[in-house]
Parts: sequence; C-alpha cells; structure tokens
Amino acid sequence: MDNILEVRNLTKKLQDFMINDVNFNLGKGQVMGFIGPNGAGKSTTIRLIMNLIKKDSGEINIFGLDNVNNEKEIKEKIGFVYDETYCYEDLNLIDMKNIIARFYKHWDDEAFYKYILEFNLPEHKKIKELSKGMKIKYSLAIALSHKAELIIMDEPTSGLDPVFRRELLDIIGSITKDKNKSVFFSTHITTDLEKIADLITFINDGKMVFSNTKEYILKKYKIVKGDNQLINSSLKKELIGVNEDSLSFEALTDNIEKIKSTFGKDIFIENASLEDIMFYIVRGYKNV
Amino acid sequence: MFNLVLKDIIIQKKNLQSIIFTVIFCMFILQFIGQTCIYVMVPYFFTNVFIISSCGYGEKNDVDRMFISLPVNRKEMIVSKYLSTIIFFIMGIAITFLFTSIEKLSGLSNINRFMNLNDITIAYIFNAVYSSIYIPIYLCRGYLKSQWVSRILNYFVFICLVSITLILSFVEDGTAKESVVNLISLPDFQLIMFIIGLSFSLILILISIVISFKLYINMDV
Repeated sequence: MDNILEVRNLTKKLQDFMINDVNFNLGKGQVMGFIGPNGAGKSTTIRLIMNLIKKDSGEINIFGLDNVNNEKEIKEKIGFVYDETYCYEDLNLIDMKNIIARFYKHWDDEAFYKYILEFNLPEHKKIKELSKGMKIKYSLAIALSHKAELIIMDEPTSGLDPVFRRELLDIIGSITKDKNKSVFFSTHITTDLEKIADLITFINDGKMVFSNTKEYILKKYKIVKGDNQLINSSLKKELIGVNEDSLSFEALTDNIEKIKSTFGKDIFIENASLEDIMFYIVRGYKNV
Repeated sequence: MFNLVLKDIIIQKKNLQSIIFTVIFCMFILQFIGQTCIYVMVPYFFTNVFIISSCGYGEKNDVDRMFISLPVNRKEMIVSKYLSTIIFFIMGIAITFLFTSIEKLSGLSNINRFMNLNDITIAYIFNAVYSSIYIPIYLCRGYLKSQWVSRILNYFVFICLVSITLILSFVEDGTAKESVVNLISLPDFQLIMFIIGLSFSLILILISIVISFKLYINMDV
C-alpha cells in the first residue's frame, strides 16, 4: 500500500519538552488515531507535519514528497481541522470561505455548500457566534471542499458534548468511505477511535510507544487480574502499570502467552480497550 | 501571494467607513498647519492605520496558523505584507487626492494647489521607513510587542513631517531662508529628489524583506 504520510526519526526540542524519534506510516484510505495524554506531543507532531514549526531532525514525507521543500504542492491536498478555527471571527462563514477558497486550485464551491447544508451551518452568521461544535464542522466543510486526500485533525472532539462528538465521528466515518482519503486524527478520547480507526499511534511524553493496526494492538494488550500473592518479580516483568490493593491486582500485559503458560487459570484475562492501554502505559511510565 | 494582499484589504471592510471619516476630519484640521501637511501626512497615516489594523486583527484571531496551513509559503506571506503596504499607500494617495481636489475646486477650504510628486515622494519615503522597521518586528515579536516600536516610529515620522511641511510652507509663502529656496529651485530638484527618495525606499524595503525572511522563515508558529 502507498504511504500517504511517512514520519521517520522525527525530533524536535522545545523549551521544556522534546519530540524524540517518532516514526509512523499512514497508508492510502486509512484512518490513523494518534493518541496520547494531554501534553504528550500530539499537537506538536501535527504542527511539525504542517510545517508550522521546524523539525530539528528526521523526515516527514507526505504523498512521497518532503513536507518543507514541497510545502505548497502538498498543502493543496491536505485538509486540516484544528482544535480552534483560527479564522477572522468577525467575518461570516461565506466571507471567510471566500478568502480561503482563493488559495486552492481545486476548490469546489458546490461541495462546500453541500456540506454547509448537510452540517446545518448558518451561512450568514459570524464565526464568533458559532458554537465550538459548529466551528469544527465549518473547518471540516472547508477541509473537504478542495479535493483533499489527507485530512489532518488535531483534537477535533475535545470540548464537544457527546451528541456533537458522535455526530462528528459519523461524519468522519462517512469521509473514510472514499478510499482515496486518509485521515490522521489526534485525540486523547480513545473511545472516539474504537469504531473508525484502522491504525493507532500512541505517543507519550514526546516518545512513541507504538504504531500498529488497531486489531494487532487490541490483540496484543490484555488486562490481567488476580490475587496479589501471585505477584513476583517474574510476573512483574510482564506487567505494565500495576494497580494493587490489599487482596488483588490488575494490570496490562503485552505478553499474554507467557502469563497464560506460567499462571494458567489462576489469572483472569480480559480484553483491553484503547483507554485501558493508554491508562496503564502512562501509569507504568510514571512509576518507572 | 495576491490572495494574501486581497485578504488584507477585505478584512478592512468594517473599518473602511470610519477610516475615511477620520481621514476627512484630519484633512480639515491639517489644512490649518499647511497644505503640504495634508498631502504628506494623510496618505502616511492612512497606510499606517491599515497596516496596524491588518496585523492586529490577524494576531487577535491567530490566523497565521491557518494561513501557513494553506498552500502558501512563508516567503509569500512576508512579501505580501510589504505589497499590502504599497496598496494601502496607493489607496491613501487616491483618497487624499480625491477629497483635497473636491475641497480645492469647491473653494470651501484654504487648499490652493493640487497634490504633486514631491508630496507623494516624501509620504512614500516615510511609509517605507515605517514599514521597513515595523514589519520585521511585528513578524518576529507579534502585534502587542511591536506596538511600542510603532509608537516611536510615528512620533519620529510626525516630527520629521511637521518639520518638512513647515519648510515647504515657508518656501511656498516666500519666508524661507535664501539657501533653502535656492536648493529647492535647482533645475531638476523634484526629479533628483524623486529618484533619491525612491531608490532609498527601495533599498530600505529590500533590506527589510531579507531581515524578515531570516526572522520568520524558520520561526515556530
């Protein structure tokens, strides 16, 4: 499969934070969930991809082209949705669209008005009068109206109520029916990704934890529960972020086969959700 | 790049009416200092208000992040700021010329001559000085932090403009020193001034663009 987005050994040092050796690939027609707790480096990575900030080292190739040297060409084919709209708030939706549309060679006004109607957006309202959810939908309408092949979204669901979030996820789900469009979606709300993501990349404290298919990750990581007397040094090596009380323990493992063969039926095994995986890994990292 | 210039003009739509009223009011007041004062100061302040308002409005809405995400590179963003300044200056000249001509032809004011190339050259030199210093500082430090520079530049320009206006007014009413009158009466004085002024402005702007490139191209937004 052709990679739409390739990130190799990406490094960026900021004042009190560092993106360190991040690697991942996003293929054509795929949806990648980019997860991590607040402050993990998700927005910084997106800003690096969009060349809003300059990388110290590493490579970012989009559509097979370097993201800095071929910036204009690449951005013609990228639709972006940030956590804020970053538009002139005193303009109405149409005036702002008229400013943005001129920058794209393949702007499709018909598509824009179709999305405005579909998302139920008030055309002549000023941007500052829109709710957060409407602003995100407006950004999405813009992102989808110039035949973009890669949609980059930075925490689009944060701060939205559950109804709006669900609606937005349905919209993203419908975008991905077009197999020419890939979506790179950062969020700390992992439940958003359970249905729509093909790939998951997890970043914590600027370092990449994993990047793989959602199926592989959900198969690899399991929650284990048992009597806390079972915990010994050999078990501990296989556990991530152990949660213990006086009687029992609960933890995440990425080596379920070994645990099964050692402890057999003494240990309960459950499927882990993406939220469990993120929680235990972040917790384990903090306890190191 | 022209889309960025156009954007700078479009976003002024809501200010245009109040700016034009202010300009007309200024013209009325400034005619009592000297007509050269109107012809030089009005286009200067017109341009100045538009640059400041465009930069302030951009920063208030944090739009740089959005524009850099569009198919635009940073060099174009920088050059467009200087181009916008020139467009605002041309608009300032046109509005000043229009209203002062109406005033002169109606006979309702003290204005007794039309705008000339000297006025435009002087106004443009000051605009070039202002934008050459202000734009790199704005790009590097942002709108709020660049305001003290803007204020100092405006005081400097105001003092220089009033001095030049007074000298030219003295020349016009025949009370200037002989040496000054002789200098201004030299053959081709206007042409030489025009060439020197334009060359100086051009060099200043080119240096400023290079500095802006160095400051902004690798800046984290």
